[in-house]
Amino acid sequence: MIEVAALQKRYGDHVAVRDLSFRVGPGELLGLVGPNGAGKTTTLRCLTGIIPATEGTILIDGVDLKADPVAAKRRYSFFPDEPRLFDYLTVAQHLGFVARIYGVADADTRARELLERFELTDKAGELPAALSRGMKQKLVIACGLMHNPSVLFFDEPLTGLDPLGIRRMKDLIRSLAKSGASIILSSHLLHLLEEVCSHVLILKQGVTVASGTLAEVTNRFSNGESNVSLEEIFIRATGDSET
Amino acid sequence: MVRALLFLRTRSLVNAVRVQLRKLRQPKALLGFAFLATYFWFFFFRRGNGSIATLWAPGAPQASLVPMLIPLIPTALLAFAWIAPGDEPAIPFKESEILFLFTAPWRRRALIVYKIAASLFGSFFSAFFFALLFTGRLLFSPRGLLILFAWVVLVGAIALHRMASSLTLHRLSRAGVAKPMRRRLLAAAGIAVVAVAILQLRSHLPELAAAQDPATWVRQVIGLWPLSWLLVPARILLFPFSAAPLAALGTGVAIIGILAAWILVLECPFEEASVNAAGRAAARLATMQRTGRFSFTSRPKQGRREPFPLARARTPELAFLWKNLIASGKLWLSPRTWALTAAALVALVAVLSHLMGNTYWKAGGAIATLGTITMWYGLIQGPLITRLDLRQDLGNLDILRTYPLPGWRIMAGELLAPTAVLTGIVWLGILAWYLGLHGHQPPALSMVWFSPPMRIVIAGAAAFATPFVLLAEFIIPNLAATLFPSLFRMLPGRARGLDQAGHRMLFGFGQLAGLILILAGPALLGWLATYLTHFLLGAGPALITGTVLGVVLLSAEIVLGIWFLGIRFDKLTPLSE
Repeated sequence: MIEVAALQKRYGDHVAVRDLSFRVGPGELLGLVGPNGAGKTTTLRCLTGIIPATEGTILIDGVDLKADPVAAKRRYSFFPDEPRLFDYLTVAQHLGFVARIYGVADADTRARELLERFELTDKAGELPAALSRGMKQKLVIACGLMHNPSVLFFDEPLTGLDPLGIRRMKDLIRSLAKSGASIILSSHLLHLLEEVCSHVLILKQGVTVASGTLAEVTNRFSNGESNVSLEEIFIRATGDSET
Repeated sequence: MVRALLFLRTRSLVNAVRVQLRKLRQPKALLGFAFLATYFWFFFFRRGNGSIATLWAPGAPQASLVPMLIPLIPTALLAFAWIAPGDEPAIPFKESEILFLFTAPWRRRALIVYKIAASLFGSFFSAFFFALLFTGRLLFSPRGLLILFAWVVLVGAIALHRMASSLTLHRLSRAGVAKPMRRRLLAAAGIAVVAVAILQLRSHLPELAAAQDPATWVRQVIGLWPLSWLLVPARILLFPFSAAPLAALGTGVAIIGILAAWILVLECPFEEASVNAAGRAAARLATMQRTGRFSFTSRPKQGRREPFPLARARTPELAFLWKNLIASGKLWLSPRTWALTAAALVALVAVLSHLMGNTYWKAGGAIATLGTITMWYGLIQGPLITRLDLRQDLGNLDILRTYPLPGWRIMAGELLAPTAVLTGIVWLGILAWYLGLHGHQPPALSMVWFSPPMRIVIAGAAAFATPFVLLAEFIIPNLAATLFPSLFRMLPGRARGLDQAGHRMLFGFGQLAGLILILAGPALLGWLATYLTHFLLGAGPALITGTVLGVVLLSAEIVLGIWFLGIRFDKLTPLSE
């Protein structure tokens, strides 16, 4: 469960995110969408504790990220758009390192399971330089799932993946939501959000323009028309901003 | 936390060593490594002395200039952190560290402690390199461990001080002491220090004039307040080099402890700056892999001032010069900056001449020496490190090949920017040499320093020949780039290592050999012409004649070289990523 109340992020005089509030329950999948510079990345960075929020409350499974960051961080994982890995740790060692960070019990068994699940067993001894982009992406996800998080944050998860990789990523996200995880997914790809998300939050210049289930947001901006795509809804909600 | 970080560091180190060793199976990598090892063996390891430590050791010659000047280097590095800090608090994290460690269930203080430890860990390797470089075989003696420790303290302290100063400045900004005010305060302090130093110099002029040698003169100058006070932090950092083991150990631990505590008590937010800096560093690395050009700056790319209006570029070659000067990113490469630097040099010499009168030659000798070093460095080392030519454009080969120009014209254009930049630097060196030898000189040195008219001829001839020599020099690395493009372009994922350092060193020697080969003919012709005509014309006109003839032959070589470069360029195929 993710609960955000009155989140604000300022850089000097510039307000990047203003008064953002929402809730993502177990099994729900919230799509975070907005034009360039809307504050999506800043929001994700605040939610994942990478940068501190200026004001507001972020609760991860009821734990306040500001008051008890250590306990809150144990409950989630963040998957960035670019798979950033340590140059000189092998695939297996990445999992071993994460296991030590989170104190995962029976780490070896868990690592083996994840390597098999993501078809990385043959690559266990390889360094990141020897992996394709898709494999690196898989490794980052395997690392993120090592400690069984209940909250997941994805930033542009389809970047750089081939069609098969895209299909697998979508299936993975759906299966994680089905297993009860609360997921926030930031993307420019509106068809992805339409396919996998249960909820959507449209940001513009750091402010919430629309928020709710896909049906609610569609109803609000459809002007009584039927079969209006999310792309059309997005354009109506944000004006003619560049995506 | 400690277990995880130890795991990360130790496994990364072991894997990095394995990767390097595995690379040595390739003959090319083995050759590079063997060359580097041989070079180190002959130039540093075989030597048993030359350690910095021995310079301060009991019984070391007090008249030696080097130990007196060494504290100036750490002082400059420490001062630089305050004078030219980055815009944001600097605790450097890599993007992978941000992903794995910022989201890890640790407190932020743990991240700072990790970074301090990582900084010291990294310092160890730099320290080992410096210790080997400056100490040679002595490093493996009983005292070697202490020397290595002293180097770790020095390198680590400078790195930690940079973090601490940047966080302190950020705290000051948050407290209302903004950048403009800090600059004004710094400028005022700088002016005050310079003014006091000049007053001190003036009041001690008789003693300084009586100095028998430059070393005594320098010792007296740096012993004067306020310079002596400014050097105190650097002297503390250098203390472990000359101290007894226990004192060195105690001082070193205290220095590192104080700096670490300074960083920890600041409680300054650093996350945003680290995220931004990591993003910029990643972008810089991507550019470096694409162009093979290293950049120190982490500032985002901004629109750059044009070096000259493009409308003046009547030929495509000049358009390349325009493009590559902009690509250099150094706004200080403008003609205005060169003119201002030359004017400052003239002003400095005028002030020193006025202050020192007939003893100006003592300072002038140093200026002329620095000028000569600049000149030689620009001529010999400059072409290896100034890569504003095809070497930085190899990543854009696809675009270059679409231009409706023959290869030789593209190559001629590519050679212009580095030649122009280095010509400016060498000309400044020549000016410094000339001005340094200006004025009264002791009779004993008159033969070495030449007569005033001869100095003008030498400086003029050198200035005339410089752009031609540099242009010829730049043909060598560009030819190598067309013959071995992979050496000049690091592809993503390709590990850098000692073998590459060896390749670069090997290439440096090749460049020197090529330079000798290219210059041999023109130099011989110039010398012969000078020798044969000096009986008829006298030394000055003969030197001018010899230089002109030498340059004519060199120009012919340059034309041939560019023509051949063009052929090679036309055959060059883009590297696949």
